[in-house]
Amino acid sequence: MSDFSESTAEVGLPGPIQNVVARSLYQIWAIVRLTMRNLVVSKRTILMVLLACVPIGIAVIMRSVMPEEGGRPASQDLFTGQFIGLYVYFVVILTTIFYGTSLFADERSQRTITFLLIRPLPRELIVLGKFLTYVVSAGALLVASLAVTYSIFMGLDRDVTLFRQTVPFLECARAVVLAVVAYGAVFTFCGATFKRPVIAAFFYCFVWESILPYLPIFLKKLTVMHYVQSLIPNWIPQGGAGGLFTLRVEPTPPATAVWTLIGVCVAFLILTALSLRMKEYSFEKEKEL
Amino acid sequence: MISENATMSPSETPIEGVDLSKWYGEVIGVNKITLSIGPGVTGLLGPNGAGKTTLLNLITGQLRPSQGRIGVFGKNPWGNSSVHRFLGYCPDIDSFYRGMNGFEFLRAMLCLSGFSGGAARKRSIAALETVGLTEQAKKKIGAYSKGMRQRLKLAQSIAHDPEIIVLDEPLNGMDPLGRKQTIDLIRDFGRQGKTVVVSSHILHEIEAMTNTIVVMNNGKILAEGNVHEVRELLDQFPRKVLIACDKPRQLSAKLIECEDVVSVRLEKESQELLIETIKPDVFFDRLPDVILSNKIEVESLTSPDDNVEAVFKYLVEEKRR
Repeated sequence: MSDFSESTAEVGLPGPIQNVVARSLYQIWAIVRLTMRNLVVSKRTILMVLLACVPIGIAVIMRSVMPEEGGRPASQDLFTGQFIGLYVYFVVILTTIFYGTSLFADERSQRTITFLLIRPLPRELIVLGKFLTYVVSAGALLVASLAVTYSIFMGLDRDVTLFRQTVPFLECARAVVLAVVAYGAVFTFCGATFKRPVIAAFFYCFVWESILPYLPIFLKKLTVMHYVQSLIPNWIPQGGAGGLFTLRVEPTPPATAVWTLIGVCVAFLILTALSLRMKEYSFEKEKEL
Repeated sequence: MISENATMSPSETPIEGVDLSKWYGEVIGVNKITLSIGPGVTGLLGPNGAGKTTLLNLITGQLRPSQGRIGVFGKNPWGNSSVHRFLGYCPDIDSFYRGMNGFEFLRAMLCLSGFSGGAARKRSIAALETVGLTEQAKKKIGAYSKGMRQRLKLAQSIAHDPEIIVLDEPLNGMDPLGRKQTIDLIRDFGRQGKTVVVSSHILHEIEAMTNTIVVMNNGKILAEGNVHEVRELLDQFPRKVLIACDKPRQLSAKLIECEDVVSVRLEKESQELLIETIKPDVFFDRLPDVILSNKIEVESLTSPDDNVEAVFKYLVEEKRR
């Protein structure tokens, strides 16, 4: 055991980092490494990668059934008008639900959260470190999946210039990243607060946001989806089965949508930190009393 | 007044609880406890469900008191993460991060505590050496025995060199050698002037570590102080001993002569002797001689109420009188 041959008697044991800012940054980095490590060994990550591959598979199928010449819609319009909506509504939301809620729910179910809460580690830093890890990993996975899907679609249009191809992609990528950020913050809050966070998250996305087409316009603006959709170029609102009864709301200007989504993220991260501060994560109720 | 600010004040009592209560809905965890714990080892003794873990979680700031207050060096530990700079906690929960080895786990815990990579590495090595896990440092925690996992939890509680060490049932699942080493280690911490609180439901474990104990049951403190005083109190409690042998009547006649034996009853169906003694130590010292000198063949010897629950039941009844 050469790695462990140092005698503790000879080793002057150093103390913690003295500078508060440097120590806080280092602690965030420690949280990021620990969370990333947990994500890597988690079965959930395999599920997420498979989920991110679904749109790629759909794109391949769509491309193979489309006629090569004439009689088909422009690939870019098809992608930005319809496909990206489905992409955000299913792939992004499912990924953010399962990743976002797991940040704290996994620690709680595996009972490792105790080890975080008995450190001289402010709970705000725990939230920040975990959320950063989530944004980087989920964002990278989804943007990569989007890029591959987009390139498969655009491969049909050989005459479109690179610039014309790149700008809509970047706009879609911006929408996906901001959806990851905003939905992620909401679901991180669910994970830290509720005992069954996935149910709460599903309720929010597939019940509350689903009934909104039938609700007054001002209520639609109380959803994350509205602002994400506002960022998608050529977004075609879906009327749904009850299209006659739906009220269509005009998209919010992109800059407003971006800042609103960032605001949602900040607000829910603050709520998560407060929840973590106020909540008692103790397991002895189950064990002893 | 208990402060939120968390710099350690050496003049303050390490742990102080005043009128401290914690309830979960209608279930009482801790009920109006007032206690003061100073440097040295203090044993927290009580049966399962006594409220020991609740009290430890209140001390370590994981639970918020429903009533009363708790101070760690004068600071309120609830939601006050900086208290953990001088407080180490070994929880009873047997859970770890997946896929890590012992060294990686300790280093991660120290990095979370604000130690740089190099410092965390050195301290991890030192803590592993202290708990005797150096050889197993690079083995996956999943492959550890229960005793090794207990030692690893102990290591994470001491790695940052805290002034207060709170240990929840640290000897659970340890083999006899591990128990002895851990008991020695805990006594060393006490000798170094650290404040160590150890919970257990086994009296002789606590006796081996310290003379200072707090006895809890049903969320209340039944007795506190010197372990010998509590022992004396416990010795007033007649202990039952059940002996199955080939000559129960002969053994009965011999035992009834002893001063410490309160009663002897022959169980008709099983032909076993049920003996009540007020001095179990004396009784068990003498019993082998009686058996050998009378050539009695003993099939079994049990002590049906020689468990801590029975002792606590007795203490509760004493308290009611």
